[in-house]
Amino acid sequence: MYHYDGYDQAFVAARAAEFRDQVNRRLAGQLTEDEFKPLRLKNGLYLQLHAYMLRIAIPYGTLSADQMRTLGELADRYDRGYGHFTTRQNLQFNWTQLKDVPDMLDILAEAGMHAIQTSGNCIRNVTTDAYAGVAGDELIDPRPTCELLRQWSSLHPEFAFLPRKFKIAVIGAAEDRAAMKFHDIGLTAYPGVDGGRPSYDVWVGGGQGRTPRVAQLFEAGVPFERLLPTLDSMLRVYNLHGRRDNKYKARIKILVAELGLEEYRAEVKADMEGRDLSVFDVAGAEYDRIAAHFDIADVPAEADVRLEAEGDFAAWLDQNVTAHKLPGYAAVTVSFKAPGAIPGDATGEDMRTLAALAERYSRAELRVTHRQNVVLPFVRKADLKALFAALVEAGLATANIGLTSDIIACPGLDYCALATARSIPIAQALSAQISAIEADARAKGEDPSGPTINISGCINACGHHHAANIGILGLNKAEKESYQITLGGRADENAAVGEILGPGFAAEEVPAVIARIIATWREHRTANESFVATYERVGKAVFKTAIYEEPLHVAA
Amino acid sequence: MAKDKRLQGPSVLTANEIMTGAIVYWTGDDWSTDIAKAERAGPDGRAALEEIARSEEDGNRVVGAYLMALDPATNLPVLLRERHRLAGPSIALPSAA
Repeated sequence: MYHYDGYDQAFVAARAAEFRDQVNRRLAGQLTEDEFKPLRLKNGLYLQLHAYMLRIAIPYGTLSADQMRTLGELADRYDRGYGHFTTRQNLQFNWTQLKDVPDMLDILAEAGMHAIQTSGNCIRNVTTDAYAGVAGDELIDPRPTCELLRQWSSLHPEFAFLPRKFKIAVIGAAEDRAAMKFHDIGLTAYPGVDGGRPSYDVWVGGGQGRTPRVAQLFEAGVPFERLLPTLDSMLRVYNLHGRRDNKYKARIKILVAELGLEEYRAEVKADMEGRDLSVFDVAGAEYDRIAAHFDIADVPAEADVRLEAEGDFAAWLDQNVTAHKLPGYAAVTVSFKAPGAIPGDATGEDMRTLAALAERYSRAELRVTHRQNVVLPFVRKADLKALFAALVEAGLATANIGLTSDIIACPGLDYCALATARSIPIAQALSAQISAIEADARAKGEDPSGPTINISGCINACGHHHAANIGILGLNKAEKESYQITLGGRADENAAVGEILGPGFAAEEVPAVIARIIATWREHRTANESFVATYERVGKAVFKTAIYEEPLHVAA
Repeated sequence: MAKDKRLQGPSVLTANEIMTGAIVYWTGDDWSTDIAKAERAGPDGRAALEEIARSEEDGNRVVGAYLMALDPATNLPVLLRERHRLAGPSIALPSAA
């Protein structure tokens, strides 16, 4: 993985020192809240429903064992003993005190981490496939591109005050495991013509929120040399024309829709032609320097192992272990979706356990997934059994990655100042109910898989509800929580926005509704048909009838 | 006078303490984390509380000060969001498990 050099280290240390000075001036009354707010937001510090919240960047979801241990230390020393892995592959602390933030940022800087641009109208943390660099089906590791983009976009003076926030995702495989088409800009990287630096397909105008859009193809086959010039001009045109009069119409998806893709393309091309692009000539050498950090040629070869497995270990191998590009290795995903658990929440102790296991079994490297789990990317197959035993010991061996009980949920109204309803209790109730059904299916030798469920506590859609097979959106109807269901969304390479099923439901009705939706799918599916395939074949009306025709008989 | 009908009943002044972020309520001469100690104002007393909100923010003791409306029948906040803000997370925190 990428390790900071002296330049990076000095950069984040200087930034932490700058914020310490800003906090001191705030506490001394030299800065008003109006003056301080944009400064704290640029350092990831929000004022949430109950307290300040600090969002720490985990660039493209990759972190070292030492960094994970540092996060655990911060959880215990400065928070209430836990943190929350987000759908943006970041980590949030919910109970931060302003007076502690300068010390927290110093500790993070020491560990090669920061909270820069995790908020505000700037280019946010670049996200990617959590199996980047190790996935068996990968064309090229997208992370050198992610790191290049991190360096290009960090404190980029021209893009510090965009019309709205800006999210970029990069993938390097045909299968999209990063919801790439739901980003402002999405890139698919693949080996370039000379086999060296990558070329890219560039997608634009995806996003969720109140106006969900699947990204459109801006240009295919962009050679590496033109990547940064193209992105820079794409951002410049957006910065110039993006709407600043209405924050709900300020994202690039609205600009592309209003301007039309053709016109937007023409504007970007004109911008590129009219300027000196030689400033980007350094990118090639920098890419090569970065890529060397991600080279896995030194990983020792391992003999492939055939594992004898039964019971819980077999189920865990089926669900939580992913094919690796190196023989004799596997990528292991540690689930933070135990029955009834809070999606993505990890205690300081969990973080220390993960750090220790990564050191012992995964070349001291970890990943945060956008589905709020954690990956150990370099596990020798010969170590899988020992790792499983250690995870069982730590209570982290839930075997449900990619199953319905692997629910995404935002913090919702239990924490978030923007939320209109709670997400977490809904996730907890569903995960308990569905985990039991999955265990039952497995015991009968049946396939436990089913639709994905994502839950957002407001229309901003941090919980990716639009992109779920079954999406749940919590709303406030006359000061009561009401949950709207969407069906048919998907976050993969065939990305689609879910359709609203009908009128919303009370919180206590949601588990019965979801059970009925899943039963309807099972009733209509052909052998091995996925939820979305059945939904697209039979249509919304079948589900609507099944859900609304008979009363739910749920006690309020 | 508040135009919002929900502000026709009693209100309390609430904010976040600047250093810690803790939710606090104005008691009449200071801030407390205990809403039971909060000074309640009817429609006529709201202007004075709003004045205190401004001066306390200007004095950098609290951030985000505003009037929170209470339902006179239940003494609970009128708004769903405020009820959750008052009660704290409705779930067991992971570190308590």
